[in-house]
Amino acid sequence: MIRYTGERMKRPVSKRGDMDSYRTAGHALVIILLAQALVVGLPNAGQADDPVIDSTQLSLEELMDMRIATVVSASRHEQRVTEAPASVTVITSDEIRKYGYRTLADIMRSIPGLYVSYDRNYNYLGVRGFSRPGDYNSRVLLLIDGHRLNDNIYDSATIGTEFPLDIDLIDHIEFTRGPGSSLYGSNAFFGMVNIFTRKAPDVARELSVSAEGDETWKGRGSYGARYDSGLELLLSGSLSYGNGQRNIYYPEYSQDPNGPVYANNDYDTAKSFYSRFSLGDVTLSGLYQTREKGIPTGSYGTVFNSKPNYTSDDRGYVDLSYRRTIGDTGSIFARVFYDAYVYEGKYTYDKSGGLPYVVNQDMANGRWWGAEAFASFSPLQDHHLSFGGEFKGNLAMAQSNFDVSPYQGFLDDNHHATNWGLFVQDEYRIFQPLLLSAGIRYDYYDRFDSINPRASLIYQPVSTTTFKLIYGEAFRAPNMYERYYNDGGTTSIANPNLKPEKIRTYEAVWEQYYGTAYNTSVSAYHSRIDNLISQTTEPLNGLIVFRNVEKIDATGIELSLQSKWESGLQGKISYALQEATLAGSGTRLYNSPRNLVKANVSIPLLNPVLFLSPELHYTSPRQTLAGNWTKDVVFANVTLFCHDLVKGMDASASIYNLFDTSYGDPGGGEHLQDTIRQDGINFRLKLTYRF
Amino acid sequence: MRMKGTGIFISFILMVILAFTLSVTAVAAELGEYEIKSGMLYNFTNFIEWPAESLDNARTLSVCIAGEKPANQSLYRLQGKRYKDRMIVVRQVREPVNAIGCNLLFIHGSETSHLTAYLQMAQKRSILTVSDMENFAANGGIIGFIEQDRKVRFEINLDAARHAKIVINSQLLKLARIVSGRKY
Repeated sequence: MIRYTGERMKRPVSKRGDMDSYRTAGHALVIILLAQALVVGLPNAGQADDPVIDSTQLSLEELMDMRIATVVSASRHEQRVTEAPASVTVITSDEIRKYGYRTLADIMRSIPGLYVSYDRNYNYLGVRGFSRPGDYNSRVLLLIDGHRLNDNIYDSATIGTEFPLDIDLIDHIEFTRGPGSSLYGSNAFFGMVNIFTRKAPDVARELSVSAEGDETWKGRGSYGARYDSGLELLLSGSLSYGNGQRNIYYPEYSQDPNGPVYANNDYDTAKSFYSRFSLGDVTLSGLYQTREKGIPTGSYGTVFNSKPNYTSDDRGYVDLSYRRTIGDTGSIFARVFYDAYVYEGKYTYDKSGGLPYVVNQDMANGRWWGAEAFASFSPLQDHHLSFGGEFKGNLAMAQSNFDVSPYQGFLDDNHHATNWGLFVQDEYRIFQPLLLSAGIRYDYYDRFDSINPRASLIYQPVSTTTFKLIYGEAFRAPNMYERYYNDGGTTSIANPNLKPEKIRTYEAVWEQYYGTAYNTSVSAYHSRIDNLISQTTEPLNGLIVFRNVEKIDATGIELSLQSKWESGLQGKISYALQEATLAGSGTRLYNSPRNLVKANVSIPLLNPVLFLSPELHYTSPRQTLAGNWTKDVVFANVTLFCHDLVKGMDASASIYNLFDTSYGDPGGGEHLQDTIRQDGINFRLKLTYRF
Repeated sequence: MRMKGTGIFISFILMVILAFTLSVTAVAAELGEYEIKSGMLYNFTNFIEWPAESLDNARTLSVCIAGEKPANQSLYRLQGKRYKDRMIVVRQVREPVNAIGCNLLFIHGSETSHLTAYLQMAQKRSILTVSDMENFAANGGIIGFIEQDRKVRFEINLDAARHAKIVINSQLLKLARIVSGRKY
């Protein structure tokens, strides 16, 4: 998150054909389609006569084991997955434990159609073939219990160790695909990640420790209780430290006359604290994390393998909310919040052709407060109306950059701004199997405004079959970094006149439940992005400036097959074909894999005590900034999870990158490396004790 | 290396597909909230003994729903099901006084203002009261649905059942969380 110093060295473009990868992907596609056909064919005989799952036929024990299938993100109120005006994936804490996910990035990687890149500093989420260099996930809205996490400088949605909440505190996650600006405003551009924290009594008292390769350990202590007065309390603190990889070899830095230099600055250390108090309809929650990450890659033209070279991110908020349900279907909700984000980066430069080196400090300081309120109710039979508004007051949006000693200032910029939005949505059941959902939101910013509608038609001829047709628009407001970052004309200039970028998406979804054990989802989409905010270079002086220049077309299909059985066996296979290209020229975007295949299965070796859960990911080649292609990657993890090893003790052992696949993710413009090499085989042992 | 990996990958996928297609005897692990609750409500009746004088002569068991309509749809699934040699009849009640003749009364969260009246009526006439309002069992109801970890659980207030002369089979009690509380 710092200024772009020095032009990257472009490597010669080698036009490596990716025919092999297409063939592999072709095989995978055939298999998936075959599976789809098989599954469609199989239960067909009895299907027509038995369209409805009759819950009265199930035993009490079976019912008690059943999870309530609802999502809230897609419409800002609880509804069944099949009635949501979007394609939604839910990941539960059960899956997080069984598959041994370590960070939100690991969880995101398991979701159909998503991919994650890592540059050994931050994690970048790719959605629908779109992952821009220098974009800190600003095109995905990240919420914790509905509280917006994207900050007010970079709009970043943090997903790696930089994500402030310990993932052990997650109850479940909803990933909602497609535009969400009609309800949520800016950033809900490609999708939304809504994280729901665990209930206090469910947490009780927990201690958890884990040890991982590369000298990484982590500890957590949590306390949750519900008192007779009705007060619910949850307190949790976590600490982690990782030395990271030692002696990382980057050929790009091996030209040193004294022999190759190895990087040893991969450490990652974090502390976080979460608390929540609820009494009746009122909830007060607070979250804080500080993370410091060493940068081993020599990014931004810093002196390779020197210290200090790190970024530190502090993120915190206090949130007071009120929710009241009225009758069966009505609810009102209100929230006030105060948020803070502080970023500090220290970078070591060789400005005089030798020692002493100069330490450059890059800082951002964001503080904001806000309020939102909305109501949801059924004013008429067959209608469900939601409306509300949101206000955000930015108290500070400061960016600065200076050399520490001798002091030299390059940037000292601060802004105050407010923005607000109003939305309304109606769900109208035209007749029993047909639901129309239509909504619109107006957002006002100091220099621009934006109107974003969404409409969807949901047709459910029998309860096991759902078709959705969705049209939606979304926007992303230019952030402070894009509008105001300038360092006195050394490398970057500001562009306060940036306009919001806009996406229009058409999507068709078919969700099918077969019998009661498995379901499939097929979705096809086409999006057009206009006025995309991109980093460009001024032809006259070579300075970096953000402009609304590009148009992007993104088209794709996503298939998934998911299953859960009584025996405890569960699994998921998914395939995504994505074509994200520059409109007009048809050039494929940077870091945009054409094919993604994922498969995971959790096998109960001894239900409900012992589970073996392997997971496989395939990612087809991605183009780097220098125009090269990465290898296609087959990546596997496996976790052995033991529940109640001794009373109250859960234990898990995981191996990550089981085949020790050597691969790299495309690097952003700040890196000399064209691809950033990723971790080889690694392990983790984890113990959680509940008492 | 890559081809080897791909081979493993494809075999793995085939394995998973095999598992998918072979497992036909299975049960959905997710259902709508009220579908789960209505299934449970039906199951409850199998573990309940009403005093003979509270049951009518028309060989029906009357399941009543107090509250608004929309979320009730799945509760109507009990209509026509059997309780011993009786047929279940589902009807809606709008006032506590209309609950006369009910054997099982499901009280919606919207009815908090009438709660005391419903509970008093229910206790006098041996009506099994069930609700998903907060602390229902502790406040004098007999069975209260609670939600835990996105699953439906239930609490039973034995004193309230005893005062209504309703006998609950121990098998049901084993699955429930027993709470003590007020009775009417």
